Amino acid sequence: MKNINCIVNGEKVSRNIPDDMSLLTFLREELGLTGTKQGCGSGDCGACTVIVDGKSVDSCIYPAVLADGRDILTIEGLEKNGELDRIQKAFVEHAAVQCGFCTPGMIMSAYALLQDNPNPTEDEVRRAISGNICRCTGYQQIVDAVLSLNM
Amino acid sequence: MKNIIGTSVFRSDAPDKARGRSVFADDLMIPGTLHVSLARARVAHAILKGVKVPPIPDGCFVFTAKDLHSNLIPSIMNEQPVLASERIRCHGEPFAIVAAPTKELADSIADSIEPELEVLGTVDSIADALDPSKPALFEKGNVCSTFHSEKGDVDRGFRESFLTVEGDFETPTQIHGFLEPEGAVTFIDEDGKMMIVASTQYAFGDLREASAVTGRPQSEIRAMAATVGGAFGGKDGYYVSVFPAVVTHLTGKPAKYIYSREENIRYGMKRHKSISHAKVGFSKDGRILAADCSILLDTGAYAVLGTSVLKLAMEVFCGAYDIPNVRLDGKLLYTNHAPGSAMKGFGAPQSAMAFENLLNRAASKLGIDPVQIRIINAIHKGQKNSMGGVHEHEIGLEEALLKFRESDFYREMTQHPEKDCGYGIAVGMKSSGLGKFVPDTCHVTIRKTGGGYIVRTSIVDLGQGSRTTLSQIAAQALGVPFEAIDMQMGCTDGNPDSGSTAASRSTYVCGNAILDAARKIREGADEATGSCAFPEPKDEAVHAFFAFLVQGAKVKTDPVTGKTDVLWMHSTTDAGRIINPALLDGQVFGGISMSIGMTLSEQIRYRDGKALENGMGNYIIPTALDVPKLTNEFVEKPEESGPFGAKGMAELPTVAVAPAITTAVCSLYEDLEINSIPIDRTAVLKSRRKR
Repeated sequence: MKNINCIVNGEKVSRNIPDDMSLLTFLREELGLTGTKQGCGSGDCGACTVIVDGKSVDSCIYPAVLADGRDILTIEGLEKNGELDRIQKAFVEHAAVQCGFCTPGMIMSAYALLQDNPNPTEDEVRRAISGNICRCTGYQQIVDAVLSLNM
Repeated sequence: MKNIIGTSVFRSDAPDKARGRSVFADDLMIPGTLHVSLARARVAHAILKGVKVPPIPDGCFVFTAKDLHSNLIPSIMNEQPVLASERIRCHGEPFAIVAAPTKELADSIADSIEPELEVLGTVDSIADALDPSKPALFEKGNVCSTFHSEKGDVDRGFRESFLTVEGDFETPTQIHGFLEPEGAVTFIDEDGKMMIVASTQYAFGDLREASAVTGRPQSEIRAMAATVGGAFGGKDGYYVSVFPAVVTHLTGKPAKYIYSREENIRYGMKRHKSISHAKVGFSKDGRILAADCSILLDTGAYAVLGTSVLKLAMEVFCGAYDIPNVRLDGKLLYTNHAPGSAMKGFGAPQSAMAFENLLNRAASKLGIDPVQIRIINAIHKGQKNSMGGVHEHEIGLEEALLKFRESDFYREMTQHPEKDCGYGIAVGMKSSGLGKFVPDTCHVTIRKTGGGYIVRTSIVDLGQGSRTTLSQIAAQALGVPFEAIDMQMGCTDGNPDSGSTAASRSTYVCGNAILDAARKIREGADEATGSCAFPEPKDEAVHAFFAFLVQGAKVKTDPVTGKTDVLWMHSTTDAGRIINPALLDGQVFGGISMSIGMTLSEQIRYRDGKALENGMGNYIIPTALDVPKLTNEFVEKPEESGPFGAKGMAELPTVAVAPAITTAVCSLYEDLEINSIPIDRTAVLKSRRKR
């Protein structure tokens, strides 16, 4: 067991956790943040994408102990006072959400992209979400949603 | 009131999904839950003589077939056990259910349970299934079902043909690839009933299966769909909720079972691998005079919905065209593979791969434009289908072809093709409804409340958007704003049975049931039940009606690796009146993406019955870099019997992708014919490129 202290969605968190716990399990089972999904458990599908210190990671293969001292943002941390974040709104308005299982991870990957690059090209958007598999949409409306946020 | 039919209303479930607030089965965490694991066979074919269960820790449970009230999954063929007890028929077949306080412990106990086996030879391919020297999975042999139909005089049709084309084709075993693996949570609720919360297409199916297997009366079970993370046919007909249900029934404790991705890929249901043969005869001016089409489908160890898949594959094989002489022959075959069942397209992509490729080759040989040859032969309402029955419902194929011919895609393909790019087109058709002899009715209720209406249906929003489109239909019919409709979906308790969310049926059959109930409300009732029975075809046919589409693919191939890149896919869709254009586009684009996978990268390969693919690292689903620009337009030829003129279309967009892409690739080469997918890069590399 190890003690970790980190910031999750702006709030300080301190927990004793098993050494081999993944960040995904930590978020879902220790903190009850079930918006982050497990699609494969091997870092291949991106459904578990969260932001750690500004970078997107696959939380299913990211050891929770490495989160010690870091700042973590999950899908639950995007909305402010019940108001959807602009990426979430764009996804709703462009029909970029179907079953919704890939959506949280997809939105977090888009968030990471737009932090670094507020005006991405279509190719940059496709590259940025290429670690996130979506089986429902064929990606077109997701790409449209992200591109609609260009300044 | 403003008309909201035909408008792209935002999905009502999208905000919560975008916030991560929607509750999927795995998001339910109940204290004291037992986690379920299955002891699975490590061989593909064996006689099971017994199961050795080692001592297990307190608080853990192991159940085998003898603990079940009935060891049979209710299905069309009624041949699949819940737990293997005498015979192992596929790698990964479960023979014991384990429940433990943690998933890790459940998995390790499951690993320690040893079956006593007498290993048998493996039926590892369609060829093996036809080989009488191979073992039989069942007493009756390895042929599960057959299909035969003959119309006109096929041999004469060929004798009169100016050109005959022929070929053997192959399509791979494919997985549904929904992002949320199969799973369910079960518990005893405050009324003492067993509650099943499942990732399912049909909660009544979960309820009936659990009741049959546990012996618990149906009245003592409730089932509901959680938020479902995609289904595509893979969460219907065989409900994995039965495993936690057995645990909860026998222990009284909450239970959770979520497939791992490896279980999903190796042991979940599949799109049938196919081998087909077709021969098509043409007049000089491009009329199809005769077609002889046969298909063999690998249904794996059990049929599940396979017998219906075979019928549909045959019905649509050359069904988009008015052909006087047609012979259809099909076999559904048992092998020691994971069961094949329903998957978006339901047999139609397999047969389109053969017929549409041959049609393109014939067009090329005859010097006829590929759209024109389809216009010449397109099927119309009132004409006979390939089995001899009459099409009584609306068909917009010719309109779709004419509109496709006006598209930017067609203009680029024919007038100014981009250098080094290949182009190809294909047509697809897909039925809606469960088909002849399968009861297909839908009931809904509508109740007036203070501010609006509650609509109850057991239809599930699987991601396709039926919560939104059905709300649009209800709002329009009741003359109230979209927001005044409260859709209560996917639950057995208090909800009427609307049938399964499958077979591209929901918009039509549930939409019509809503219209029926809404009419009674408008006539003064505060609460009403509405019903719709899906029309059955009267004579020789499997399904009463169909949606159609034309698709074009633009591709490039890499001269060094032979890899195909799809650059653009354009569709023109005939689905009657469109309820919500943005959601229709989403269905089209998603289906295309799925079939780009089948055409370029996805396949399950078996070695001695064991799937080589076991994760998303080696089973390659297309990413945003593999799926190109997608565009869609539609023709709106209203179906008179449909709600506001709508037809079902969810599965349709998977059908024509493969032949459009293979034709586009072949157009770049002098001597290349692609008859098998996923496309073999080395075959492309070896071919002579056109200059």
